[in-house]
Amino acid sequence: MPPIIQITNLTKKFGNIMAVDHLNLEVEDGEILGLLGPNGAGKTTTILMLVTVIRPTEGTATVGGYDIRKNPDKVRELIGVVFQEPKMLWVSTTWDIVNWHAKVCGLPNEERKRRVRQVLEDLDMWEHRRKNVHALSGGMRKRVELAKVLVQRPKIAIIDEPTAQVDVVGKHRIWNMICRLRDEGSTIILATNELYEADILSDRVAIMHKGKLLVCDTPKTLKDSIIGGDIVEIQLENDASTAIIGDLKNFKEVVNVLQIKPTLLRLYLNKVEEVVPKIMNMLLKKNVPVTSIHMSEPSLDDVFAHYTGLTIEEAQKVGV
Amino acid sequence: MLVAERDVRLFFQYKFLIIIRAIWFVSQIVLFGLIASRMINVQEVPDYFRYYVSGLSIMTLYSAAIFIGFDIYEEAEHGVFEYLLSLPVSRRQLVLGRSIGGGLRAFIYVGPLIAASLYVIGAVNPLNFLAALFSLFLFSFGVSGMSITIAVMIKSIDRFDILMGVLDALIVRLSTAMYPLNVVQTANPIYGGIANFNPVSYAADLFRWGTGLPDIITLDNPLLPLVGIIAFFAIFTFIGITIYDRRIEGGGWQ
Amino acid sequence: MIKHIINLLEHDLRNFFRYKWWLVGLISMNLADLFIMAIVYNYMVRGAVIEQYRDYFRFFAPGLTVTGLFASAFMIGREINMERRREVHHYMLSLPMTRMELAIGRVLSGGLRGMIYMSPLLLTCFVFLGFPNVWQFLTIIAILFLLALGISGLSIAIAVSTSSLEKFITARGLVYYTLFFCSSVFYPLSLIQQLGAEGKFPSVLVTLAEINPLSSASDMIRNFLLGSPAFSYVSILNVLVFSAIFTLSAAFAYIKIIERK
Repeated sequence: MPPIIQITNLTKKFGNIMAVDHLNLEVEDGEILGLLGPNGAGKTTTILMLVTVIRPTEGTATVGGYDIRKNPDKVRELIGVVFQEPKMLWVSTTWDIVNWHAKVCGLPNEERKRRVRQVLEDLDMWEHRRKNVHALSGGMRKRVELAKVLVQRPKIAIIDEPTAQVDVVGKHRIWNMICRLRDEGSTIILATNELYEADILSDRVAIMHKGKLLVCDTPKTLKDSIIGGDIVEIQLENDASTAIIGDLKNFKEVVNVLQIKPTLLRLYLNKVEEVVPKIMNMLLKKNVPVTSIHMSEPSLDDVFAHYTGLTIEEAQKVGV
Repeated sequence: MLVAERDVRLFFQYKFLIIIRAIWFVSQIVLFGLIASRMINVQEVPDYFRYYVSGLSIMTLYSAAIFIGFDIYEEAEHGVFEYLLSLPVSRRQLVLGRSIGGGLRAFIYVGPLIAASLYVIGAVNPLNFLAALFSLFLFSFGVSGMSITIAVMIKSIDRFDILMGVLDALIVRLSTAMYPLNVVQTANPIYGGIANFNPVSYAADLFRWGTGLPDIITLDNPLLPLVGIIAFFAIFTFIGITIYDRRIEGGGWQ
Repeated sequence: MIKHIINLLEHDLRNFFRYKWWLVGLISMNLADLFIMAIVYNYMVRGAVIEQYRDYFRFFAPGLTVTGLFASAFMIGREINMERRREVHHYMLSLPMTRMELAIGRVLSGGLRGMIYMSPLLLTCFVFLGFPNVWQFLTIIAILFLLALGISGLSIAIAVSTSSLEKFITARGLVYYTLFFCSSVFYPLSLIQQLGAEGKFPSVLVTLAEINPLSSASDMIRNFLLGSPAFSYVSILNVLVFSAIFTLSAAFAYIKIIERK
């Protein structure tokens, strides 16, 4: 089956700034593709080009078989967008915004009313339906923005940072609704800079940095691809000697050892489940008392760091 | 004084807007003033062009002094208000500072326009004019205090906007800014009654009296409007301080 | 196509009535102009004007109707400017409708909003000045609607070309003052022409007043209701040209400029 979205050399330049740099990416029908990257990575610009709001400088994409340059009107009939910042005039009420959107998307009268009510109830916004947007909190506005696409149930939903400014309970509710939207048949592109969100929701994750696509695969494959991706932190009772650090480095599975504190060592290694018992035996034999041990798998942050040399937070700080 | 200085500085950040508004002022003189004066009966107003130009200065001063109320809402919206309330300044100093700042910046803004209108009017009686200028200062502070009082009292930008619109429509049109008192009284005695007790009328009449140009002076005794303006200033400064003191910390801005 | 345009009309009309406070402010201003300023002016205006129109109130009421139409039809521009600053236009551009439908819908709704606001003012005119016959009434409505479309287009063209609300308001002020004061809204066109002939008013401004669609529309209503000033159907051409130019340029500007980032 051909991909539902095929992006080919998609490029956008704003003056001298290359916002999206020859992006090539495919999105399969029915999947949730996480588009991960720090602020300024080019995620939103890519989205705006896909929904035909801004024109590419170079390259193109086909959406549901329609070229975004040649058939923008057809493309818009297939797509629904949840923008990063809620796009609504603040004099309008919640109900007006969602109901009007459903109307423009061609939902028949009865079905429209039913769906609007259903979605607003699911998002806990029904009792706020008569309130003007300016009277809503940032998180509530974000929910109204999301409600538009949930009511629309488009063939392709593009969701840009759906849980920014939303509280923890709200986040889980939104994640469930995004999964339900996928289960109902929508293909979803989920742009986010929240690693956990991308990890738990996405079938595949595409990591963008400085307008370029670094890598795209399932979260598991991405994590497994990192050599020394498993992390073990060993808290010792006494300061670690140079000899012990040397012994640890001698294990062939151990890629690197960092001394975080005099008594705390962080080991980057492979096959954590096999090597940890060996390490513990060695420490016991050498009479090195261990206070605690903590093991973790690599996260998407580690994947990002692996490809860029920066954590997402660092990338955001330096503004790249 | 620091509070007043801050308000004056803020106002002059809108350079572009100030320049363009000055151009509007001139275009109102050149277009409306010039053409409308051809339509006016010289027996009623001997020199309507000069009469209108002087009235326009006062209308502009009024609009500029009202502006401080909108700033207060903007501050409430962006949370700057909480910052101002947290400063080591008493509430009375704050409201007085803001009232003076609002009035002063309006006066500074209208200053060049008043100079331009004096040039158009073409006559000045220096002593009278200084007295008139003093009364315009008080008028400007009074309007600014009124704007702050209403803004803090109703705490809703929508209601404030409409109230200011209605007030502007009535207070300016039911004044002697655009037409002499005797004409207003002839047209409608109720209108005349209101125009007779209107601070805009007092300011406009005193300004015309300050020019010393007989064709546009409609005032026999400048003392009465002067007392009126002092009363207007005192009332709104006093009420402003009292209301500001009572209402400012309650929150509930819409 | 029609369905999407109707949806846009609904969107913009609904928003129009949400600015109820702004509308009340505008109405107060208009009523104060008519029932205070115009009545007082009656007692100052020269005999010639009074003789021709009986009183200044009767002269001014049609002009006020046209300025009310202007101000309310212009409001769509403020909204579109605000949409642009808050990037709401990204949402509008992402909707499943063509750019042309979007542009036509916005211009039309701006014009319709002007007509809705202007209706009570026009009715006031009829009540105080007398009712026109059916053909005159239809002509008035048609011409005012065309004018409203042109104004709506002009405001949209300005809105999408100005980056901040401050600049939009400034540009709006310049347009208001120039078109209001250089027209026969407040004073008879003959006065402006007379000043021009005496060399006291620049001929460019006299020409502007003559071809100003606000003059044409005001004088057309005056002619139908008061029988004066002389009115030629050719002056309707002014309104037609104004409307055509700004409706087309608004559609073009709206599509071209808001797609740019």
